[in-house]
Amino acid sequence: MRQADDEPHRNDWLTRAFDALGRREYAALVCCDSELIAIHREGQLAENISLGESICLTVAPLFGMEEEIKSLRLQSDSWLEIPTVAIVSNGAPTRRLNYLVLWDSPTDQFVLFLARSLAANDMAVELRREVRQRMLVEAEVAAQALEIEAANRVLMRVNRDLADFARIVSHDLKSPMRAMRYFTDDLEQSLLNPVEDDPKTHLDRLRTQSRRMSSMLTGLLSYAKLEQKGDAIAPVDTAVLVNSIVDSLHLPVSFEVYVKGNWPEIETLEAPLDLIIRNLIENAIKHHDREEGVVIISCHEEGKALVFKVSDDGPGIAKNHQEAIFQPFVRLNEEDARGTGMGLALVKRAAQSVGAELSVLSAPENGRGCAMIVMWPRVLLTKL
Amino acid sequence: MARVVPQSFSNFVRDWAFAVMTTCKIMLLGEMGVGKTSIAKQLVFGTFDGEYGSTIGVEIYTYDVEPPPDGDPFKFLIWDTDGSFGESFFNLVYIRQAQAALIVGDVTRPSTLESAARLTEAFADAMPGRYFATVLNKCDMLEDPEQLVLPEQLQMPDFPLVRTSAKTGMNIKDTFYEAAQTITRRGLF
Repeated sequence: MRQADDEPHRNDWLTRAFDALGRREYAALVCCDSELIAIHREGQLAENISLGESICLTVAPLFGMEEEIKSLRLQSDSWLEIPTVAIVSNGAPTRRLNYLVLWDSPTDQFVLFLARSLAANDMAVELRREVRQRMLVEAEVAAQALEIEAANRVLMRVNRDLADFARIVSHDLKSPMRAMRYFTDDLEQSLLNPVEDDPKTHLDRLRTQSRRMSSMLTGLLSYAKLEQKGDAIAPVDTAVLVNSIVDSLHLPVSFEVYVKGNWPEIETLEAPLDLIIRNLIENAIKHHDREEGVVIISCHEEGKALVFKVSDDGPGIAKNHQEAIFQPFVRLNEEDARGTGMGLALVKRAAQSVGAELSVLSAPENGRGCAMIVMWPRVLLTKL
Repeated sequence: MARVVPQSFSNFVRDWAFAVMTTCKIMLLGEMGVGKTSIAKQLVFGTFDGEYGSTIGVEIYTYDVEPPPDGDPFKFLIWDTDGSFGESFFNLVYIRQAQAALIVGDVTRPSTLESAARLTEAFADAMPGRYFATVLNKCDMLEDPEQLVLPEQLQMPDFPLVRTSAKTGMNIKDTFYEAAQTITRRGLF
């Protein structure tokens, strides 16, 4: 490495600059040869710049700039300026400096000037800092307002759910309780004349209603618990999922279930997706009016959603029932003892919990069949 | 026939190799208040200050990455930048000769994640072939960092994403270590 402090060949302006800067603490300069090796320095700000080494290695803001600085030789009246840079050491920034490099052809040297930010600049910096602080506070307030708005929406939904819950408990659960009361009265009467009126018959009816009420309460509990997301979003292979659901179903022998379309792997919540697909398939089979039937489950991508479709060749659902079927305990055929009427209510609630959309495609007046369509978002809603 | 290397020559080679330290200029980009300075200070000094102080211009930190066994020494010049520049930063002198960038977003402010996604694209366009990663900072403020909803651009498979907390130090050193490894492996210096 070249040794420092040979007397450089300087013209008058550089000599005067050296003399002036020797006494100043707000500016400094470093003379370098054509390879950017520092050969002379003046001013306190340059004290830490090693002589005999390239300024592109010893001056952090100039790191990697060798080619760019050397090209200044080919451009007259050009310079490289890197303003407002502070080097941070021991936890606190040093003085903020402006760095300027130019090529001085009369002396065949590169000259690096370093200068402190002026007082006015420091004041402008402080003013900008205050303005930024205010901008950030305003942004935080706006973000909190959005959070409050979202929380209010959740509260409104919770209040609506509570009202629905109260209605269900007061209306739908009264039915089995009323039936149990009647059957208890009948049982009491039958004990007076057991020969003609077998008490066991009324006991069996009581037992049936008790089981029915227990099933309804279990279904209601599942319905209420659905909003509590215990799972984390994770990769789900929807092809594996749907095939495992189909394999686990107790299909009547004469029923056929087909899986079609493109089933990708997505980052999502598996539990509600499993619940929805499973309940839709089971519902299609349970409410089929024939001994033979076909159910087709398909999937395709549409924009930012996956579209799942469960189609069957059953009797279909009339348009005036297509909203009511998603209410808890609603069954289109009250004489059908299968199920409690909670399956589609659970499907709707699970869909709402993840921001999925449900729709029904069926027109029994035009022909048999029904399709349940789920638009499942690829990006799920956050908790709020 | 084995060659016998004189001890003085092998010491010379070892010392010369040690002196050849890879130095890399890495930018910290992102909106104001996302935690760029906090990340730099946590990395370099192991400290965290909850008081916000806006960075004006550029502040440069130096950090020596702990080399792997038999690995070469590696130094980062970390350019902590003023977040107010936005995408106009790529027209400024500061970005020149940058060899890598970490683009930081604040997971508690979704708009900064959108901004980080745009800055990441802009960096990839302005500095093709350079190492970059998007850093999702302040994860200590989320109950479950994995449940964060990301902008679409950041959801692409194999997109370099890191979840960090400058407050707790989570993944800070690992992020820079990974950057050093990748830059060395690809010869991006």
